Amino acid sequence: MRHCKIIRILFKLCPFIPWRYAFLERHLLHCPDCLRKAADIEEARSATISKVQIGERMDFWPAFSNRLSLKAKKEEKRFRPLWRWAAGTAGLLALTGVILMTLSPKAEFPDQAVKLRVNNPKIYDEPAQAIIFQTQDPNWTFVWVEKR
Amino acid sequence: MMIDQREDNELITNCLQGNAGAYKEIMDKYGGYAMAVALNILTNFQDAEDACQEAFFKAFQNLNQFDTGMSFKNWFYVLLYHHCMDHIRKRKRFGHFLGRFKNEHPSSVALPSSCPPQNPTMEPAFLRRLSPKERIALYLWSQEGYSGADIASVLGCSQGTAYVHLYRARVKLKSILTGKKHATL
Repeated sequence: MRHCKIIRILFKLCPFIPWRYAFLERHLLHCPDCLRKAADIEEARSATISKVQIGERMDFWPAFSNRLSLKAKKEEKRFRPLWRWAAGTAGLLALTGVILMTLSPKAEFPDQAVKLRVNNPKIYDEPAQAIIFQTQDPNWTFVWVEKR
Repeated sequence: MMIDQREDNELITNCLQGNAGAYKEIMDKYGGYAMAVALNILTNFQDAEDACQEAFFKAFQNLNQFDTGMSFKNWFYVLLYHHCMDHIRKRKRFGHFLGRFKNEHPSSVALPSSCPPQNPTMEPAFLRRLSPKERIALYLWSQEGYSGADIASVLGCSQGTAYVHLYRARVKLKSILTGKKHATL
């Protein structure tokens, strides 16, 4: 009896669950005296709420189906603004591009550009073709001559 | 048990194929059990109903993760148990906040009670004196005939820990019951 009491006190005071389980396994679940100190299955049954007490009145379906349809609607809505945002952003970008193009200063070519002309270019006495590249820098002009 | 599991698996397969009506059957089958579990953990009818609703929705969303080799009931109980524990944590935080608010603003507007009135047919007065883990262990053991291993799988702990929770619940319950008996004598 005294031994049981000590074990029950140790079980209560023990801070570690594995140790408590050791007390349970070795003594508390097998000793008739100690088992008398714990509620039996019938007492536990009467103290807890059973499915029978709740009965058949629980119907979660209406609220669940409502929620499901709401969720579907929400998802539908979630995609719509995405398209709107995408279209809006594309439009805005296009508009910005147009504005920037019109506002940006035109390239200024020097008024007195070097008037260069290549007459009858030849490579090793063979007639050739000359192509003149005028850069924006008036000091630079490239002349490309290639065989015809 | 095996037939039940096969039936559940068929319903779940139907559900995954897009037949939401199959889920209604699952809800009808386990609604009462779910409510009993939630009510035993939360000891409040309204909260239990909300928790069940939420857990059923969560289960539906995660149905593709369900392992058909397992019991649906156990899998669902795990979801429900975690949801109920989250709810208790939130309720505790709200309780702390409410207490602080009441202390700081004693003459403020009347605040809603954190625990609405109970359903008159339920008497979870005993249960409130046990911890949520002890309550669910006691419920699963007494009402559903779960073994230590089954309780452990729902609680997500070792079998030994589940036994400890159960034993503590039984001892507490016994002392409450004997105390009550002495009081009525």
